[in-house]
Amino acid sequence: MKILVEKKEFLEYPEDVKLLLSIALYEVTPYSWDKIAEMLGFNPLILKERLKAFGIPLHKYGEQEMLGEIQTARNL
Amino acid sequence: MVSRRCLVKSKPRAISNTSFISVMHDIGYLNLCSEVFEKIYVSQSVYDEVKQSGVRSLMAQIEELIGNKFIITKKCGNVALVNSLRSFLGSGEAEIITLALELKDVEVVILDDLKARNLYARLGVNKRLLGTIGVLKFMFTHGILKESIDTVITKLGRAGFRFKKDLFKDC
Repeated sequence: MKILVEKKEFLEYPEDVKLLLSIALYEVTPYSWDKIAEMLGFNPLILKERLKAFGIPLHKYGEQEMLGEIQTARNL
Repeated sequence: MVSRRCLVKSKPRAISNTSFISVMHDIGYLNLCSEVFEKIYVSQSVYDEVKQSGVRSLMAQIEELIGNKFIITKKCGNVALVNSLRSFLGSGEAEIITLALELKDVEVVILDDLKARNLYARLGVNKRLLGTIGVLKFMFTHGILKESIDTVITKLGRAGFRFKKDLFKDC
């Protein structure tokens, strides 16, 4: 089940806490990484750069998503 | 011998979120996008996100591509739809999806985030949805990328993508 959250206090948390929070929010909410970045006061590019530095997977494509991508690319 | 690149049909026009442009810049393939697309539209928020990120090399390349009229910034008309989509998506993603509905000449919408892609699919927009993986697969298949497929896969992994490598290689 996905939950909706939007707390202004998030903006005041230390940066390392916000990074951990972003990972949790992506798991439990319907929000995209960019939406979460905005909620936490990050530039979306910067948030994703920080997460990548920790080896956090940003986009986990399952078999269906991969096959869809490849099919669309084939018909481009 | 006929080059595989000769088989590329007329190039489509695309609209893209920040993620794709940033990833393609990071892995050194952004300049090659003009071999796939005629032009790429970005929204004002996408442009602002890049500008405010402070990544100078990316901003310099974007400005160069804007100067070459390959990247074109557009403003959204339907602010109500943007605001509605922003309940779940970032400003750039919301504007890209809205512009996809507004720009008649756009054929391909480029989004990487799975939640943004799912929302786009539910809206039933009649334009092809593609991500960085699909664009790179196209580039590789058509001989636009000169690097090995393993190198491309490694770069995608470093850019935060997780996927079955065999599918990328074999399909």
